[in-house]
Amino acid sequence: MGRNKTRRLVYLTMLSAMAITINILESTYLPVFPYGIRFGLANIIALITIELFGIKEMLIVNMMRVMIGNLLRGLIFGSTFWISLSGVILSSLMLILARKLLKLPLLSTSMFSALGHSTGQVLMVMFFYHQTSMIMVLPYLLISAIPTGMLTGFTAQGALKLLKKNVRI
Amino acid sequence: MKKKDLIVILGMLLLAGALFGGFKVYESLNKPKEEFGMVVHGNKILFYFDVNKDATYDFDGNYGHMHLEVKDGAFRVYDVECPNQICVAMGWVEKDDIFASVGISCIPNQIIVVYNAEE
Repeated sequence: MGRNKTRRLVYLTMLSAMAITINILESTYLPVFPYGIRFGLANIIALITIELFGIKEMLIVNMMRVMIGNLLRGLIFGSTFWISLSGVILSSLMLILARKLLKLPLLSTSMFSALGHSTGQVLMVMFFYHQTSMIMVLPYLLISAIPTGMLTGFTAQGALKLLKKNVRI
Repeated sequence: MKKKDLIVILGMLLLAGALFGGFKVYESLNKPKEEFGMVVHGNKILFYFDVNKDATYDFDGNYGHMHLEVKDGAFRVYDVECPNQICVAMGWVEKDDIFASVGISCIPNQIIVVYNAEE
């Protein structure tokens, strides 16, 4: 294993660890707003990863976040696990679509990703838990994706500026 | 913030508004047209009644005769052949009452009177 490969592995591990920590801290300490609106702070790490490394690495970090985050909380393969898994898959797809295919700026990418996350969760609840009326909360989640996406987008922007200046990857 | 960001925000707001409006329209189209109640005996539906039409009905349960009165969007049972008279003591149930879908029940007669229950 070459030097660069090891460096990449270490960075990926650290990013995954940060995503998991943020995920757990958020779900433990931050409040959940009505309609299940949350900040989605772990999305910051996904944005940083896709900027610094690429699509494959972002997918790895996101999947690690859901898998290990739920494992550590003892919720793995429970009903909430599948909901968060579908949210993460759709949010990753939206991230790839927005950043790599449409080449949108980071802020809109973040909003797209937040949108994908809530849509994925709602779709999962609708079709696999047969709660079709859940679609009624989708407009509220759509609107909430704008401020939360902006929050994560700005944070990721600032973090990336610092990282690119100070860290060699 | 760049121009594309603003476009994305605007697009998402529009999408949310469209979805919201769509749901509202769908909701108003699919509103139940008449407000009905029903009388259930055991596991059989005896009859439906219109909650907004004042009327009295009488029917038989396991124990004996029962009467149902509908007036001003509320309903009650009276003159029941039963020693307990618990269902009579439940009094009037208004259709806006949160207990309206639970309704009035009489155990000896195995009769339930409920409002707007889904089949």
